[in-house]
Amino acid sequence: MRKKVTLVPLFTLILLLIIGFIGAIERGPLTLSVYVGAHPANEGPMGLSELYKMLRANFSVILVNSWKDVKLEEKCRVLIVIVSPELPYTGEEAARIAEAVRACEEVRLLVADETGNANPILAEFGSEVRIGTNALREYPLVAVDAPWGSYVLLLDRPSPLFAHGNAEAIGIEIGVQDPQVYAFLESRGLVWGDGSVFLNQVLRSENSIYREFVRDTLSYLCNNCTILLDATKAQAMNPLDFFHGNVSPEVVPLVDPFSLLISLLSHIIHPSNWFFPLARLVNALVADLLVVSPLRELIIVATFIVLSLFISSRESSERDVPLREVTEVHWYGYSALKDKIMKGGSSLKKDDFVALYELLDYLLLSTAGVSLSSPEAASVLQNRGMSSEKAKALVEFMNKYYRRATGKSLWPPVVFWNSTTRKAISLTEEALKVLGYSLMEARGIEGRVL
Amino acid sequence: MITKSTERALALALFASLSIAVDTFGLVPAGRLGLATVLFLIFLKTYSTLAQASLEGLRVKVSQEGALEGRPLRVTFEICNPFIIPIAFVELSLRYPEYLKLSAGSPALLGAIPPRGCLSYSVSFLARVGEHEIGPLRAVFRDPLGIFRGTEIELGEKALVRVKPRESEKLRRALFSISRSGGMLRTSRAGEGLEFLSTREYVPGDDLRRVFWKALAKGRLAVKEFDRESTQYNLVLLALGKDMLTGPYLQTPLEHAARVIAVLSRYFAEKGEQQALYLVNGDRLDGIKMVRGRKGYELTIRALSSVRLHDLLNQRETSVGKGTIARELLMTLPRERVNIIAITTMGSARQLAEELKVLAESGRCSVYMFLMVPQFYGVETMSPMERAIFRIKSFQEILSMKDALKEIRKTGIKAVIVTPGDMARRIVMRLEMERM
Amino acid sequence: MNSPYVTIATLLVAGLLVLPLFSLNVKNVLSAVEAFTTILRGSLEPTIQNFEIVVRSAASVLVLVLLLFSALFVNARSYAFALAISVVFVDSQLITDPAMLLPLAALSFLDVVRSGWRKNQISSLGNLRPIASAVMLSFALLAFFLLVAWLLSSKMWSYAEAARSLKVNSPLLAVFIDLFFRNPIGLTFVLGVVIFAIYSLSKDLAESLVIFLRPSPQSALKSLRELVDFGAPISPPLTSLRNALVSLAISPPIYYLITLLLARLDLQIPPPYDSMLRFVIAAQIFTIIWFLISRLTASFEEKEPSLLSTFVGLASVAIVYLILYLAALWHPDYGISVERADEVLRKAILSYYETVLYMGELLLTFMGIAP
Repeated sequence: MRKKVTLVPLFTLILLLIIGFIGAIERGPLTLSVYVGAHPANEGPMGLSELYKMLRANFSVILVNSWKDVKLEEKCRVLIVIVSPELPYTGEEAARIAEAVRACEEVRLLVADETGNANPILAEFGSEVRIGTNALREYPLVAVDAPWGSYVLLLDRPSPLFAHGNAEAIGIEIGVQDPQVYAFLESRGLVWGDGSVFLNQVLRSENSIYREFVRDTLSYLCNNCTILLDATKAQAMNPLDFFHGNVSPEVVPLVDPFSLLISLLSHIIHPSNWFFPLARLVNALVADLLVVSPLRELIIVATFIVLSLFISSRESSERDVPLREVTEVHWYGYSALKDKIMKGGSSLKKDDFVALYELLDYLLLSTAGVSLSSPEAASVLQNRGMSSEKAKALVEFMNKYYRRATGKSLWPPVVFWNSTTRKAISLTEEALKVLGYSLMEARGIEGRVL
Repeated sequence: MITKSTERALALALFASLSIAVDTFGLVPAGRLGLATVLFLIFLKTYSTLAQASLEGLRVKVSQEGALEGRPLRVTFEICNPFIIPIAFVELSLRYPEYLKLSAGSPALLGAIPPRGCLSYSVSFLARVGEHEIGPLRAVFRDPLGIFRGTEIELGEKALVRVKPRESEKLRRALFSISRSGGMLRTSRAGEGLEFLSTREYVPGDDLRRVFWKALAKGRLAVKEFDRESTQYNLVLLALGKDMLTGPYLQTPLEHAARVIAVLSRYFAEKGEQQALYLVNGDRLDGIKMVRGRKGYELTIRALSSVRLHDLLNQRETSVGKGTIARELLMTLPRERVNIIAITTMGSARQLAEELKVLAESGRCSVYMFLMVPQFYGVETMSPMERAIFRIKSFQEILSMKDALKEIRKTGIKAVIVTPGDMARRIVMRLEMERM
Repeated sequence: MNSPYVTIATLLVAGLLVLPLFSLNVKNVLSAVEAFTTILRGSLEPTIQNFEIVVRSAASVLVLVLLLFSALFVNARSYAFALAISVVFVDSQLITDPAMLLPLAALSFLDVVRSGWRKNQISSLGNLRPIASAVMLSFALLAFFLLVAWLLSSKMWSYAEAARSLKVNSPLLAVFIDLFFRNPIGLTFVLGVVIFAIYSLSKDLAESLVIFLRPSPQSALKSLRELVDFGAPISPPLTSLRNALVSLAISPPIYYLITLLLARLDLQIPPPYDSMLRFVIAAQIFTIIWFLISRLTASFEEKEPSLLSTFVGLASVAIVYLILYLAALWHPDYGISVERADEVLRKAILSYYETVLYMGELLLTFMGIAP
């Protein structure tokens, strides 16, 4: 794979990440709260996430965390939904809500509350209904006879409602001596004495009547309008409280584990939450390590080696080698062989003896017409002026070792070919001289042969 | 990045980091020493970069003296620094052909050039015949501590050197003693020419322009006869094969041949004969056409000193042997009969013989082939036993050469093996025989 | 060929140069040996101090080896290592001892001379005076550099000193200061980054200035040839983001088909976890497709894709969408309905993006970047 050219180096990206990191630290720690009560972010049994989903699927919804931030268009039509506020609204807060929706053409309310915390709102909006502050019965059965349908619902510790004026009681307890009213419909909207109908645990239940009831109610109250789902009075909990034991045991099963996990994760991931403790830890660790003697030295060595590599990494380095010089070349061709021989590095072998034999044989045959192996060889040499003993010795010697070299004979069993060939050269030279050739003189056989 | 750090830079980087580390760890207050080292490195880098950039702005003058074979050929590079910063160090390495032998000086050196000063670098070669490219210099800058090293650049131009062959005066005299006399020669044979020789009776077929009118007036039909000019037309054909450079320095076939051709050329010039020299180098045929006298000699020497040994060494497969060279040559030949003296080594003999055959068959030339056997040059420097061993080991080669020679002779070319010592003599003897 | 005289001379000088550090470490080793003999005689109890002696004498032995190497090969690098080990393990005061520092530069110089000086070079030069004067001048220049560097570094180092003694009241900032200015490792790191930045900047500045002042075509051409691999693929910035966008376009139908398959398999997951599972599946699909696209586009940088392979790629994406559309076109309960198919396609894309964007939002929320 070829080297790639990167236009934006990794370094730049790392720098950007570091800037983001510093920014995140600077922004400070962030806690994703965990809700146990009626809040759309609560996926637990007491949460409103199901309601929120339902609303989102069918209406345009604004989740209100702060009424100050609510900006509505002129002539809007809104339905304010308040479910089980955990804290009472103050008059000021109620006024702010009224202020937020002042510009609207139509404002309706859906208050589902068993605590009475929403009463100031009812007062602010001129409702004639008030919510009682304590439940009279645990699970009253209520018959709802509303313009959008009739239902029989089982409520969970609802508070009875009190009304004067034109409010129409649409949800009345059945099957008891002193039936209480749990729902009033008035021009301002619906007041419902129980938030549980809108909670996840009910909406998720097998019995679909509650779902239908909620759906139909909302469709009736909100016709082409915007729903403002109030979440300002749901109490948030710090996820760390669960670990510090600051949470009462009865709340624990109400917490949605998924939300808790996410909330904790966000706590752990965020650099402002771990950077400083880590820095303190590192500082302490280094201080501790530097006290231990050989360890301290090793740390120093490691530090300065890393530092020096870092400093020198900016330079592209190369090995400094001296410039090559021209290598002069002489003795082309045969030079290797000549050099080898002249350095004495060429020891003679069996093949060389065979070559010598064939050389002598060739020259003898071409000048005297006799082969070296023939019986007349010695006499021919003798006729040319060689002494008879020498001629005979030469012919015998050459033929004996030639047979040995070519494998025709096994005698003599041990042969040192280097010394044997050298001896053969000396013997042959004499024979060649009488034939007019020479191996050893400056002007040798090549001059005659060619 | 015209300068790069070397491995020595790590020493200073280590020291700088060590000083800083011992300070930050509270051992010794040496941090500023470390920082100073880093700053020093930065300054050194700046200086090195500047010096490297200056290196290319240096003025280089090349001069040479001596261009005769066997004599020292001195090449001097005068490198001047016109800038105000010193260049230390600069390592120089001379580019020169690998087949040249340095006789004095160093092929490379470590130098330094002062500001507005010069450095002179000279080397001497043992000159050998031919054309050689010497230079340019390869140069590398290093700072005095060798921490930074510049990229290698080339300094100056390459010098083109032509070396003439050496001529042996002794040999020249010997050649004249072989020929029958000095100076111009007459053949005393009737033929075409300018100088009047005599008249003779007309025979049918004689050119009418040569009718001797004065005699016709007296009633005799006769024609004038002129002295046939004695001038010989000698063409030397030197076939350059790779093995032309085989052998000891100054003793290669090429050098022997060049010397012989030089002497021959002078001999031809002094005898007033026509001479031509052609060099077959690969597929190329270079040379000078037939010229007479001194001019021919000068041209020959120039051609010999222009042989590019580099091309010779890098010769590729040739198409010599297909007759193309011969046909090209035939176009340039004069109408007269030409003596072709082909000189070559055994390596390219067979191919050249094919070409020569074409020339011989044209009927316009007498062709002689002189072969050199460089494989055995230099055996005289060996001891007798070494010679024997060498000959045994190369005997098969000798036999195959013998076969090659036999084949060449079969084509009708007169080919002889010559040694450098007797080549000139044998060539002149051949030519004298041709004159008879 | 190197000159034997110069080689021998440089070796001798190198030997002399490393001698002070060498003798110091020899002494150290000898005293360690003495300490051990007393321990062996039993007159000294083996303690942690003795362990330190072992470490120190081992370091000294290593230093001796390094010094031998540096003297034999005229190697400044191994001298620097030897010095560093001596400073750290034997005596930290050595670092300011000029006799210990001289060899660092001198060995480098000797190495340059030794490896560059040729056997016959004097005969080639004739006159050595220009060389001598050039070398002298350049040494004067080096001395000047050293002086300026020393003066400058004094000023600059005072910043480091100041940073070390910085006092702040904010507890959070104090942690910061502790980590980066008081903690030796942190301080070294910060100094390293600062030096790196100074070095890079001044080096680039010097180089561009020199090239501007004295353009050198040969060197420029050479370094350019080294620097740029012509025809090397260029990876443009934010390629990964582009690939992410492409994979976002391809993922939805696949995601939808897989969720359909899971529904067919009748895997019932209780409410809070089903959304988690959806996230996981969406993330998996996205990651796999992103990876595949990245590999694919990386291969395009090597070699242009052929027309056929481009067509096949686009066609396979279209086919995935088509399958989704056709699957929704007919339903046993409703029969063929184009409206329904349109609706399903829309829902498939929307549900995927909803999931993925929710994930992205969640991540940003985690980092405290988005509310």
